[in-house]
Amino acid sequence: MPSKILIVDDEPNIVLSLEFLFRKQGFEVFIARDGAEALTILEKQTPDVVILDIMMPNVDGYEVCKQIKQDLALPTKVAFLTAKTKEADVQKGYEVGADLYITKPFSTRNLLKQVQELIYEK
Amino acid sequence: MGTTIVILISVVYLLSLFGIAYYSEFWAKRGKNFWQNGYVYALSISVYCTAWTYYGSVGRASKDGFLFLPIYLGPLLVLPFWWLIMRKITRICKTQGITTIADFISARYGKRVSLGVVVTIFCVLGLIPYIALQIKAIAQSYHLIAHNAFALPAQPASIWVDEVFYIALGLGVFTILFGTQSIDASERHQGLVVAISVEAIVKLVAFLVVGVYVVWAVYPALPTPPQADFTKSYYTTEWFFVSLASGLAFMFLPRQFQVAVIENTNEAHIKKAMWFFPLYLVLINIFVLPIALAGNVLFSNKGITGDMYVLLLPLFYGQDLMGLLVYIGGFSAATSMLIVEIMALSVMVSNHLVMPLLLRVFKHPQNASLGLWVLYMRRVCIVALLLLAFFYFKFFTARSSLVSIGLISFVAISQFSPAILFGIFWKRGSYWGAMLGILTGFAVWFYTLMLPNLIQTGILPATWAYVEAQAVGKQGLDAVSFAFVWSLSANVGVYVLISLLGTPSAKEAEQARIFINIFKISANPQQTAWRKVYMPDVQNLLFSVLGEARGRQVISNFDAIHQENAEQYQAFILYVENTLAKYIGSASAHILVESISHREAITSSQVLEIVLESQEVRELNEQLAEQKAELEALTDQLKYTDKLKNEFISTVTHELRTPLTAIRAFSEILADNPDLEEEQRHEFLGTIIAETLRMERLINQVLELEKYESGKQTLSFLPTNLNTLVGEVAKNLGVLAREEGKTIFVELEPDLPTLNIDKDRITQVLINLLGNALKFTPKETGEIYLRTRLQDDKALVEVQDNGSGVLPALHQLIFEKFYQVEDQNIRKPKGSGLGLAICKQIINYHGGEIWVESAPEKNYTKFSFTLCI
Repeated sequence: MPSKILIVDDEPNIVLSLEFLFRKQGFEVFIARDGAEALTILEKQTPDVVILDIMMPNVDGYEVCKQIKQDLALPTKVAFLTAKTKEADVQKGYEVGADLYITKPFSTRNLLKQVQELIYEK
Repeated sequence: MGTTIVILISVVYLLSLFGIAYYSEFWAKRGKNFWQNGYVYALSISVYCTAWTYYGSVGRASKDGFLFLPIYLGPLLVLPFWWLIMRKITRICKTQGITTIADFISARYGKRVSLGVVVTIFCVLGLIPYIALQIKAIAQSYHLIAHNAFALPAQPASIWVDEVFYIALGLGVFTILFGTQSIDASERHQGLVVAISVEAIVKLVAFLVVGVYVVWAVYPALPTPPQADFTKSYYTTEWFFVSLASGLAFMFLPRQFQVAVIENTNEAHIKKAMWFFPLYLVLINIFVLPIALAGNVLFSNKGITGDMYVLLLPLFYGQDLMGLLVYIGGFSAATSMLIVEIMALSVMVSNHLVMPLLLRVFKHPQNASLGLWVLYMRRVCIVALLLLAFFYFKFFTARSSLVSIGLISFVAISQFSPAILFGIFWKRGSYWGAMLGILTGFAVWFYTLMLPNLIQTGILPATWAYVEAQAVGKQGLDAVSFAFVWSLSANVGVYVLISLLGTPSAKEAEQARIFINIFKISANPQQTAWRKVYMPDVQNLLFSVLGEARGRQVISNFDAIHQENAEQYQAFILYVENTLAKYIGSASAHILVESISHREAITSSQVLEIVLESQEVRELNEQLAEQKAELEALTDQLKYTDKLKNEFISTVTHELRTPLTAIRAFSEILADNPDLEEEQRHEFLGTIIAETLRMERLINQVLELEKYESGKQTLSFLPTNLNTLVGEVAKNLGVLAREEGKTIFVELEPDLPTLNIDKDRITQVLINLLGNALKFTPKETGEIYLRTRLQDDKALVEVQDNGSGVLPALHQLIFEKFYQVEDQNIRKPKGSGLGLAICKQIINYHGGEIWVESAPEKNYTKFSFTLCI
């Protein structure tokens, strides 16, 4: 059974690249354009990993992560993928329960490797 | 020789002197001042050589040999410093209208009446014996030549039959004629100076004639050869201290001050006197010792005092004519001293003792004719002083020699030297220092010198003898040196100590500044004490003191200079005060001018200094406070700007990261997947290019905004039809709108005139606003209204939509560059934050305004901007 991955980002081109990368690795890919959409998907699906942007319209990435880890208490791993590079942002990311915090621009190989490791941890 | 002849010759001599004086003044008034030269000035200084020199030097030499010399060494020693000291004093007196030594000291220490009073009293006390001495010399020589009497009558004759009394009265009249023609005490007494110079020559010639006669005619005929052996012990220190006392007296004796300072018409004359006067001194002393030695041989065992050797020698050998010449020479020496000294003292007494009293009596001086009073006062003073000196002579001086009384006066006068010399060089010298110094000096002088002398001469009872024992002969010094050293060191000590302890008053500090910096100030006179005086008061004052004619003259003198400016006005008041000072003394003048001047709390230099300093400090503080406030404001602004800049940079980098992320991701995908399908490869490459363009656009926008903000952006304003412009933009974006099912409604104002605008920039604004509207309106139901209108002589453009809207709190902020909603994680709507900021800049450049009205709950948003017609 292929691993499920949810990609949440409001930048279509970034979503496009991530979708290509994970499809190629055999992931079942779900896509959300913002936080609200992500939460909708999460009502039905329980992906192994969520790739989460922070700055998005409506509901931001922190809120989504908090929902996943605390409210929904899903076994899903959360990896932030964001342009927010400040130390405080990173810290806040881990505080809301993130398993991984990757800054943009990212190395595709590195991202894939780290996401694979998250799945093995499960 | 008959009494009548001697008296007649004396009177004729005086009359001819007056004739010379009158003659020279007659020509001086016609502008012919051929008497005004350095030689006359130097000769007039020889009032220093009194009867004491003329008769007394020989008397002293007959007893103590060379010890008569220190009295002349003193002047020789101080003369080299005259250019430094006397020129300064002269300049000060001329600038300040000072007329006497008392005036000088009083003026230096704040123009206080009290100091003038003290100096005047001590001058009178110290000098009356000295003046009496001159009368005595005249009397002795008169008796000798008229009555062949070697000594004065043991029992004083009744005054009314005493010829000397009438001679004294005659001298009084003469002094009045010379000295008080005008009440302006600082006015040069040209005639008097010339008369004194003539007397100087007469006494010198007479003395030289006797000298030559003695050396070449008497010496060969002497019964025994003269003995130059002075075995009498004398102290060597006496040379030093008597020289010093003489040097000081030479400068500060009232008569010396009169001829050297007050009568000085040209500072260059001082230079001439500096070498010419020593020559005079040498000549008049050259025969002293030979005459004394010859006299000793002839008269020493006959109980005759050496003081009369000069006159006695020619008479002894039957040279009556030469005797008469010698008598006239001595008469010259005595009268010149007497006239000048009395005149100077009378000015002092009337200005410092009588005037202040008079001013107290006449509280409103304009009601009385003060000027005439001044003149009468001075004449009365002359007569009174002469009578005082005469009675002193008559009852007290019979038993003392000429020299001892002279030196007592010298030591007295030298008490003024600390106050004067420190006063013109040392700023700290204070009123109390001078006052207490002088009082102390005089107390010591009286105790160590005057008192013993009074006891010695039997004026005071012998019960005072212990005082004498206490005072005289201590420290191995002679009486004069002892008194001089102690009185002067006490004086200086007290002066310096008290001056250092106290703080000078405002007026003192002001005067000290003037005295010490006189050369700067007289070159560039300025008044620092600001006084307010009403012209009618000034006029009344001047008229009452100077008389109407002279008063008008003074005012008109100054009228020539404009009075409108405040400094000139202050200078005028000072001029009035200094003019009055010449007539009534500076302290009295100061009182008078002060009595009519209205100064609030403002007084002289101290206040000025305080004001200046505190003003400076306050201004400085204010400036500092201002600067601080400015700096703080600037810092705040800088901090804010810095914060904005940091946010801007942070936002820009963030905004740049997004396309960069896509570009890197796709580049890596393409690199790692060489086997990608052609179609997909094209798609990814296309995305890379698009993201690159996005980055480029962002960078361009940042640069563009920077251009607007720094004012470097230039626009080209051309007549443009705004409706056409709006139509085109609507048409271009209409395609995009239709694709998303949105509708653009265009409503144009038909009467809109042609506008002078930058077509491209306004198009940019329209595209930006319309683009935003398209972004935020929902698909299918989106409605956008584009309107042009005329409002208040302005063109108004509106872009209205039914999108999600802008919260009221953000209506201002969205026009800031890279505005991000405060909760930074909710993504700001798409597009860079720079669009509206650039729009605002463009509209501002056009002189218009841009704003937004929005009600998100009603899905109503309207961006508007105006353009000038």
